[in-house]
Amino acid sequence: MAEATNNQASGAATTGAAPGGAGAPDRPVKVVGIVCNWCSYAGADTAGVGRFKQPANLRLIRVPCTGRIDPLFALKAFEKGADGVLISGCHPGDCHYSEGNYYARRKFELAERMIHHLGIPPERFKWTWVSASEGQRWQKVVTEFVAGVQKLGPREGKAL
Amino acid sequence: MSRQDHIREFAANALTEKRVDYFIGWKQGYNSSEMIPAFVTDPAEADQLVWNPLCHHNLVTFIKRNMPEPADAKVGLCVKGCDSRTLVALLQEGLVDKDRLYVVGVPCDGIVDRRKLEKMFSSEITEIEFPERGKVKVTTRAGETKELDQKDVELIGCAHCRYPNPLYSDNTAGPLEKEPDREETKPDWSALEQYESLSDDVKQALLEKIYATCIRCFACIHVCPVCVCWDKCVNRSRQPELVSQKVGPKENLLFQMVHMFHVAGRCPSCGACDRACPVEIPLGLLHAKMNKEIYDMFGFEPGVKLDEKPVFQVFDLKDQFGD
Amino acid sequence: MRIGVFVCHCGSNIAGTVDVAELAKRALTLKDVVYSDHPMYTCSEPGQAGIQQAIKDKKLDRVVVSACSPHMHEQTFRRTVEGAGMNPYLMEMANIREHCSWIHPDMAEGTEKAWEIIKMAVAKARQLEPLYANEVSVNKDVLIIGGGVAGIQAALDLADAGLKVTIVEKETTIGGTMAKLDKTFPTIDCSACILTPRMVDCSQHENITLMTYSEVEKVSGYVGNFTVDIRRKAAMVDWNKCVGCDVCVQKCPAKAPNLFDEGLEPTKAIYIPFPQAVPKRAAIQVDYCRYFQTGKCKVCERVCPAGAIDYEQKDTSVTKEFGAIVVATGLEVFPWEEHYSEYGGGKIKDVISGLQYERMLNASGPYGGHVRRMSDGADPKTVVFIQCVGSRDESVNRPYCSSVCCMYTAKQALLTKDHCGMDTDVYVFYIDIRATGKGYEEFIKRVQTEFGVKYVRGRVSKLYEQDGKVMVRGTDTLLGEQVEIPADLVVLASGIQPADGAKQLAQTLNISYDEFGFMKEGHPKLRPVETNTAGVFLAGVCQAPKDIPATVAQASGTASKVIGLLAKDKLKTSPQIAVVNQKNCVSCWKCIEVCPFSAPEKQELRDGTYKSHVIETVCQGCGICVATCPVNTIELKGFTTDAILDQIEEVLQSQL
Repeated sequence: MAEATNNQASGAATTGAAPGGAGAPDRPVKVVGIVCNWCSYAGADTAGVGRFKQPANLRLIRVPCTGRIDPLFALKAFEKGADGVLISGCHPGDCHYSEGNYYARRKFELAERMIHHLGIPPERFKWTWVSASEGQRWQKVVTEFVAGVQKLGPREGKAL
Repeated sequence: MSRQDHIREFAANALTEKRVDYFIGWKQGYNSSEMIPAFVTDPAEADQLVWNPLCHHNLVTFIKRNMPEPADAKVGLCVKGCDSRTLVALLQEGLVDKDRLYVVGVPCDGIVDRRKLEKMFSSEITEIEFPERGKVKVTTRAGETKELDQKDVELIGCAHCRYPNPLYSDNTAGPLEKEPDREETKPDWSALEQYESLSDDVKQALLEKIYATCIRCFACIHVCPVCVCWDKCVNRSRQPELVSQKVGPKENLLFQMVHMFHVAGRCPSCGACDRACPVEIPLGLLHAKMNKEIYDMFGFEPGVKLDEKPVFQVFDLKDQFGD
Repeated sequence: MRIGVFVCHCGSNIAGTVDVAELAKRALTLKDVVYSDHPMYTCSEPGQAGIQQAIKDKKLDRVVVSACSPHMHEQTFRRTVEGAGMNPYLMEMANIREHCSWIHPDMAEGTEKAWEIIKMAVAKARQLEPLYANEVSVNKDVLIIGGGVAGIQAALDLADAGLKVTIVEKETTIGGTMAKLDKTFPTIDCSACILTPRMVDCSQHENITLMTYSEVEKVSGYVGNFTVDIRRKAAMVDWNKCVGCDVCVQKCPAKAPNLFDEGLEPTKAIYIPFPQAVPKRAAIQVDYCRYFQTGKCKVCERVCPAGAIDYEQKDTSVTKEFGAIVVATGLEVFPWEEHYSEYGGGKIKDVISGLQYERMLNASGPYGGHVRRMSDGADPKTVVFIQCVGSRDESVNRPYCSSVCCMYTAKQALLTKDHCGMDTDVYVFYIDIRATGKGYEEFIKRVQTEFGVKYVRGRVSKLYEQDGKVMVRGTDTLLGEQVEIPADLVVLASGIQPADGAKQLAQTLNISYDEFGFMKEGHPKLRPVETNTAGVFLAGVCQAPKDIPATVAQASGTASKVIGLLAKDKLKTSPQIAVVNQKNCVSCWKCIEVCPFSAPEKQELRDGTYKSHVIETVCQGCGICVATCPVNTIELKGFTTDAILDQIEEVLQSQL
């Protein structure tokens, strides 16, 4: 598994040489991440400080809280051609604003199920919790998720 | 005394006693094959109100959020079982004022899907009669006449209806219909099975085909009884521009998903959007799927209990989602 | 719009794997970008001066600093642009260090990702608008949670500075773990002699209110204006009448576990933890009280000369307002019995924890300072100490070093020789000796040479009883030999962990904690006593294991940070909050329902209709209402929906 992950990661290396290759099956996948400022963004920082290598396919958007994330952002990203969407925040009980992730997890769970209903494989959407101290967990989440998306390849969905 | 007679009597009394300023029910449209909403202000006009299995309109749509003009009007209206759930959903959120409503509950044994009928005849339908309970007699302009079983031409949601009797009303038009054992049985979502069994690629291809036909007329949204944004719908908004003004299957599907997420936990799948869609996009299936998942997640049916809150406006520390 | 982009080298931290010069060049091709540069260290003085100069020369109205995490330097660069006359909220950071150069060793890969991160930041910068901070008044009272040496030190420092301080302590007395200790390393001065005067100072200080036998229940509000519910537990004794005379304790017929003595010998159902307790007041442990269990007894009521016993007493709650909160909840000993079955799992009587041994050594402890075997009370001839029990041991999920055990073990080894005679055999099994404090290494050397304590490098694999002895079987890794020592007494240098309930308290306070329950500081180096929740500070072991000098130093550091915060009469609040565009509000009030802070309210407009309005000083900027509003007419300043959507589009531009 680790080997496969490495292959995926290096295969995902963006060369920048093929913007015209968009949509080509061998294109590295692109994953949009939306994370809360206090836990998961800081967790990604912790992973960086620890030099925990990760595939380079993820683009992070920082918001204050997972409670601020409208599940429609994920659908919007798919509409715009994202190959995967990753959402992460504070573990239940740890929300900086005490309740944001409790509301969020209900919405994300429904979003996950509806996204699959629209014919987008479940491997392309993940929501999870990574705390500010969990640099290694962040590395694992990103590596596994990107590997899963890369296995499916670039998305050529016609509807969303 | 028929349900229709009850409705006329309740409406006439409420208007006479000034309990309401006007009463919303159903009346015949341009011929007996089409029923339309009726707004009655004069007790003498109450006898135009009708009740039959063609009265599909969810009249709660006309009172959603705030009352129509004037702002302090008292309104009477009829609700079927499914309609009453949308009313309960509005009451759960305090979006309508119960004290300004007079609700006549109409127990219902199924509504005819007029579109389904239309597809069965080559000529225009000019007359629909109900000679006896459970039977539908159709006459076309070409003079063709046919008697059908009502069960065969009902709306998709009627087959497994769990709430034939209104959940909220001040008066009930006649005896209650027989109810399924809701403790023992789960809601039935067998209508979804065929779609759910498709592969992801086939689903995408199918959705692309279906949603390419959407003309963004907003009928689904305007007719929705629990969508309370009226002309402020975010689907129209350019700032923020969540849904692009470009028209295409992706944008149209996102448009529909916006509506879906905004009514999640409040929409009881009344089917109003489905019936309003001029291009016949099966919106009901989308909302049925949403409700199936919500039931699976929370064991929650929207618009059933007055003291419940829609599930996405509250949370429970014991929720078991995520890892 | 005129955007300037600054791509930092950060020495080789970024430039090592990201072609910063190339990115600075490419940035100029982006819409609205009129200037770019790639400074060596953007956060340095010349780096910041370069930004300010460019703002002036190039008339920039947005700045994108492409460097490290905003958690690191967002404040720095906001001040930089503000210094050049720009609104600080028109600066956006692109994190190409933590999120790029440090995790992608390949130059081509790193550069391309950094390019996209910069493009996203520029896209967001286009959506930024000037924001202006609000001011709120500040309550100058301070709450300290925990009355150990950390809380005591912080309280005295704050009170001396003229601030009103309330200490909430869950036990009946302040003092914490330090009150249990016999001597302190490396000076062997008496713990009580240095602590108890400070405890008394706390009780007598006009600016300090002690609330012992109390717990924090609920915290709401924000920096400068916290509202805290504190529950005072029923002691079944009226403390206004109790004088701490101890008569009730002497006469009480019911025994109860003595937690202060670490369970060595029982105390009474009514108890005063130790003679120097502050406040010195009795409390009844209801679970062990004969009256509460059987309905008969009331001996304490009969003997109490002050008439203080009150069997009807109930828990009471008070609500108080504070401007800042210091968390100093301290530690508890790692429950080794549950995890180390190879050491007998607590079943061998002559195997005790380090803190139990501390009570044994203590002259005011249960044995008057007499070291004895727990099994038969005999004087031990051979005492073995085992280090790292519940520290540096991944098998029990305690990978961290408890930081105090090497030193307290050396101290206890020395005291053993002192109490039991120099002819006592004392062994210490250790992995490494960590003696990094002032005078610590010298102390260890003294214990080894002057006192002849035998240090054996290696882990003990098994303890078992044989012929009245505890057999210590282990390895001497330096000699590469198996060793077996028949010991009379074995002392485990049990590690420390956050106090019971620390995680729940952290959740109540909305501060982060790690998997062990240690609370997370704002920055491990630069903000070691702050938390990421403004107005909440840390002191002592609740943040990480540390010894008394470090705890006291941190407590004083915390106090100075609190004084710095509360020296201002007004605090600026973040303007990155939710704002309702009332034109589109449909008055559905979902925002009011979901807000954890009750920030949105119904506001009556001139036409008599009601629309939602967010109270600026109450809003914490989480954005839950924003995601809930069906018409998207609430905007979160600094994180607008358009800014998020533009970032999504920027990332995926090349996908379609």
